[in-house]
Amino acid sequence: MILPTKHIAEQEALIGVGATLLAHLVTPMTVSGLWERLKGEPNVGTFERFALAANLLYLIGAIDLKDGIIVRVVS
Amino acid sequence: MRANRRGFHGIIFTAGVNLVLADRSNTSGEKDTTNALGKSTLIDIIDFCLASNTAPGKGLRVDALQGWAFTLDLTIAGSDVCVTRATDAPSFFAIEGPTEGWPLRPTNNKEGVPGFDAKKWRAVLAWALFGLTEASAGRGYKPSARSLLSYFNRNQPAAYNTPFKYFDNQKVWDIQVHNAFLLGLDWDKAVMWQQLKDQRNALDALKQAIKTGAVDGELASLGELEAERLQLSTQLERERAALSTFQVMPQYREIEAQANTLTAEIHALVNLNITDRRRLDRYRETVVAEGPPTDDRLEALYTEAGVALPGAVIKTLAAARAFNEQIVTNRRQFIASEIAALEVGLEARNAEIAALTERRAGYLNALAGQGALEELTQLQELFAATRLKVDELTSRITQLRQMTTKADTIKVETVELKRAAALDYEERRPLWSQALSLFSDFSEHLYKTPGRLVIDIDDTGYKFDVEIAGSPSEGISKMKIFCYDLMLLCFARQRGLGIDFLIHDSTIFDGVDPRQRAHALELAAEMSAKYGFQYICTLNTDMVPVSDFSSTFDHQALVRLRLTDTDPSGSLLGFRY
Repeated sequence: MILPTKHIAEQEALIGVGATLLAHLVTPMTVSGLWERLKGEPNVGTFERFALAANLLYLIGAIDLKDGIIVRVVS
Repeated sequence: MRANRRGFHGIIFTAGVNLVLADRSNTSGEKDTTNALGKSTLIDIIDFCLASNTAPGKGLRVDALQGWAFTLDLTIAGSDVCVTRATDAPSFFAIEGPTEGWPLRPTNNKEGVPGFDAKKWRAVLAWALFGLTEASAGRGYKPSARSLLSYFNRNQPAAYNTPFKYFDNQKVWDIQVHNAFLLGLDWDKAVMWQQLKDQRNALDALKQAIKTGAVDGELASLGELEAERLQLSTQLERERAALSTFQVMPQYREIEAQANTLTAEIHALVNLNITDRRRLDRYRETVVAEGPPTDDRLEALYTEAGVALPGAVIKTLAAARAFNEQIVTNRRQFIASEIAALEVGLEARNAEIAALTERRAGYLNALAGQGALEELTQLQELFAATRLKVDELTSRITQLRQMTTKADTIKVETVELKRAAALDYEERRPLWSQALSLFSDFSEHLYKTPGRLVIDIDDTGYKFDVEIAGSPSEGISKMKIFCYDLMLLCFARQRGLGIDFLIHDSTIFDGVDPRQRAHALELAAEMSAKYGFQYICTLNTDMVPVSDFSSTFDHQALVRLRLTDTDPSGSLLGFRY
């Protein structure tokens, strides 16, 4: 579900959705604000996929939540 | 009759018949003519001195007669006077001699010569010859001395066509008034006939003018006009009522502007509500549609991340769960607060709309039944315009009524006049029957059977006619005129009028049998002796019916002047032009 496979296209894999999410997160944003931006993107689709992608980015330490605001984690 | 130039053949006319002959001499050639010797000029001169109308370049006022002045010695109302009129100054009539007792006295002109202008001279002639005074003839149509004289001095060829006319286009009233006067009828009636005719003609002309559009208006029937007036009057009443209940509100415009502002505000609020309500709907859908990832899915993600990205996963599953929980909650809270905010906003706006609507209703109530000043003005203008139309219509109806009434009145008056004239005619029978019997006497003198003078009264006034057996011939129609004129003069003398001359041009005997010519001249001689007048007649010598005169009749003694065609000096003026 994360990486593209024979059955999952690159843009449909969560890693792609995560990449799109990161691309839009140029400044810290609220969950709703980011979702409003991303829901129009073709590879995002549902709120569930958006949340999963956010979770994935959180797991690998790419983003964090600070006081309810999503921020990029600078490595 | 005299003139101021040598060469002119002066003539002295005496009582009785006076002949002026134009000789055809033995030595004259084939192409010489007795025309233009001055027979007609002689008649013109008499007429000229009796105040005929003249025009420059015509009659005696031609270039060839410049500087001429003609003098007539005559007896006017018992005074022997000389009247002189010059061709160069035809508006002045110099009078010499006693004028005591005349209604008008001569006044001196610039050269100190006593005399009259044409108007006064005519008035004197009217008084002296026909007993007419200014007072007896005050109105538009009246017998005039000039017209009456024209029956005793027929001075143009057209005067010899019918007894009752002295020129071709003589008006009917002119014929009726003057012949009625001369025949002893009530000429006033003839005048009234003409006045009624004038009124009728004026009415017809007015109708015609309206019909052709020359005069404003339309010839609608009285009924149509009345219907139109009724309709307009109703409209006028409506407008008057609107005006009387109209109230002017001084702040009308301000209140109107405020009401308009309120309306705009209300519209803006309503628009906002519409967009908000749409957003609200969308949020409510979102709450239903946005499903968060289940715990199973999260676990699966965690597991796969560990496999797919070994070493990259730095958070625990518990931390992931907490993160996911927060994301989902955040989102839910956001939507919930949005929904609440929108609902509050909607509520507030609805309240504001209600308040504004109420305020606006208040303003509109204030305006209801009242108006601004300019509306009142407009209403008043409308009212005034309608009233003008009604007034115009009313006056047209009045006019039409008057026209109809007038037409009826004229008809009634015409009938009444005819009746009155008939009555008057009967009462005057003793008088006019003298004229009729004179005429039949005279005609019987010329022809075997007596002719008749007929006076009729019909709807158009007096009708005159003369009849002599064998009428259509030229000679007989000329003798009708002769008898009529002679009768007029004898009748006038019988009635004591001053007129005491009759002048005929040779035309009167054109086409007349020599025997009748002889009878006519003898009759004229007899009557002039009996009634005391002058009969002046011009004749060509070859027309004198020498062999038809009775043996006792000395026509040579009656010749006052002979004009000859042998050389110019033989003509009246002493030269030809």
